[in-house]
Amino acid sequence: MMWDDFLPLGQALEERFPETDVLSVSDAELARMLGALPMTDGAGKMPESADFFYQVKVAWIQARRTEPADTSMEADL
Amino acid sequence: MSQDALYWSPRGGNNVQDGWGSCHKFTSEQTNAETGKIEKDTIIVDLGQHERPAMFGGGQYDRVVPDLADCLDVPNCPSVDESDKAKAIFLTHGHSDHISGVFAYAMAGVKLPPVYGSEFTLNMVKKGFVERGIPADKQPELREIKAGQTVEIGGVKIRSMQASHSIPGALSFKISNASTAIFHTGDTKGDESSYLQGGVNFADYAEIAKEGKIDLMTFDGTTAARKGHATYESEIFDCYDKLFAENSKHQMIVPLAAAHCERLATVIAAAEKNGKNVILNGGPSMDTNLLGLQMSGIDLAKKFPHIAVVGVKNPLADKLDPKDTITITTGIYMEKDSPFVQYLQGKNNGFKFAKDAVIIAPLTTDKNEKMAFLMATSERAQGHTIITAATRPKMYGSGHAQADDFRRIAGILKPRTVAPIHTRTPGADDFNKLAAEEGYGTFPRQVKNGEIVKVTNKECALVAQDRQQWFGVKIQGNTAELTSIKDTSFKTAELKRRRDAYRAQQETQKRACLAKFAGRSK
Repeated sequence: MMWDDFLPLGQALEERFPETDVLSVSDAELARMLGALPMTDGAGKMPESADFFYQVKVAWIQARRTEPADTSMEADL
Repeated sequence: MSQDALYWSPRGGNNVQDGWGSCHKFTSEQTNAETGKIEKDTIIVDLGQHERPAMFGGGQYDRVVPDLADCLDVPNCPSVDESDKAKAIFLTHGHSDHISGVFAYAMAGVKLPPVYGSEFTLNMVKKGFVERGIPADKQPELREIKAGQTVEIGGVKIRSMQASHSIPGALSFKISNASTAIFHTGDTKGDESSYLQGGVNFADYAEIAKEGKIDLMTFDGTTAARKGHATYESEIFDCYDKLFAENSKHQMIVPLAAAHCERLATVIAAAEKNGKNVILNGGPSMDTNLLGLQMSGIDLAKKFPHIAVVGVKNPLADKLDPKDTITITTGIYMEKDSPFVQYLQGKNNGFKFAKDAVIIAPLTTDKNEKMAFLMATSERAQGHTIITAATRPKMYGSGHAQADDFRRIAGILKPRTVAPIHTRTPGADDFNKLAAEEGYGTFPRQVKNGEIVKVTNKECALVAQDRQQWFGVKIQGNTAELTSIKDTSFKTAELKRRRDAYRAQQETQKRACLAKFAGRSK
């Protein structure tokens, strides 16, 4: 597993912690949650940047989608 | 240096029927005084997607984006001469009709030049890469440009300025070479008020005016010909403030558009003034935008410290008395992933909706007809008070300039010539009329996608006419195939027939919706 395989990570987080308020999860908490996923066993050192955790959170929310994301940025006309 | 010029070519957004898919190509040509050779530098401003792909090619494409095969190496297209290649992409803001072409090109394996944007805009781009599973080696380099900063790309200077739109991090750009300057507003209105990241600062325009003559201003023409000014966030705040006071004994549900982050902050500010807590329950679309705000250093809970501002999954949300809360959700554009929409459609998704809850929805009815229809017909909305912009017009405000905004901005910048962007032909015609009445140089008609305008310090002239050019995008997993759409010429009768049929269908649907909704708005 590579740490930038964000979508599988997000899917795994949603399956393991389905009712989590992603918006209020701190980076430190997220690191612990990621470390608890079986799929991260044996993976190299986890990135520590805010950018990494942001992308993981986006992927986690993406796992909750039942519809394509594009309407999220519907233009303002 | 007599040949020095800047060339502007709209490549999307200056459409016949709509303003989707913004993209503008700017090319600087300057003669090198030592070698006598002409040096070319091309940049792209915005690379969006058309939001109605069903209008093209019989609906066979997943997405439709501007065709930039003349300045990017695109698979299955002739290779581009090095001197013609775009050296950078600058993004004005993070709405999909301005950024989502980046994803399509990256998924198609096109090597894109560095992409510049504000911190928030780039966070929206990163979000898009993740959502589409685009691997890092296919992503362009992202470079932040702050408001007020100048970037030099070869012989072109790109100076950014904070704009005022419905999303934070919106920028306008002054694009100049040694002899010529173009001011490209992007999507903006002349609003100095903001409850999120700050509105437009007219002193910035004055600074730019001091730097030298603007030869051409490409101006947000979406609604610029309408009388008055675009509704300011402070006016919208006042409207919500009154509404929240009037309905303070009830739970209130406020559906917004997920991408209109400025409005979200305005509504929370009004809630704070009324001592109401806020539960954010807008579904994944809203949540990823909230993440983007957090990542850009904007924490709504900290920004409004006198109330609780929590996501619906936060344990605190269950402890709040519904009568003391305002639930902000999504749905005014009938977003399919909106929990409110799904609830009204009959899904049992836990959406908390008290029997006497009041719905405060900024529906202007002419573009929110599907939501209006749903609220008028849903069993679950029956008996509830529904307040819309039909009776409280200041509830809604567009992020685009109106006539007074144009007069004020142009009055400071004093451009020699102006041209509308981000608008369809009738709107462009109205804008040109307004601009001519105000004494600015204009083009006799809309400068359409694919056409080229030569801008010098003496004149602006249409030097090449072309047709609209788009790529149809077919997506498979995290890859995409780009195909030239052959039938997009506005001269094509068949396309016109199809577009007219599409619009007629929309009109019929709208009329049916409005008829259902008649009399429901209090």
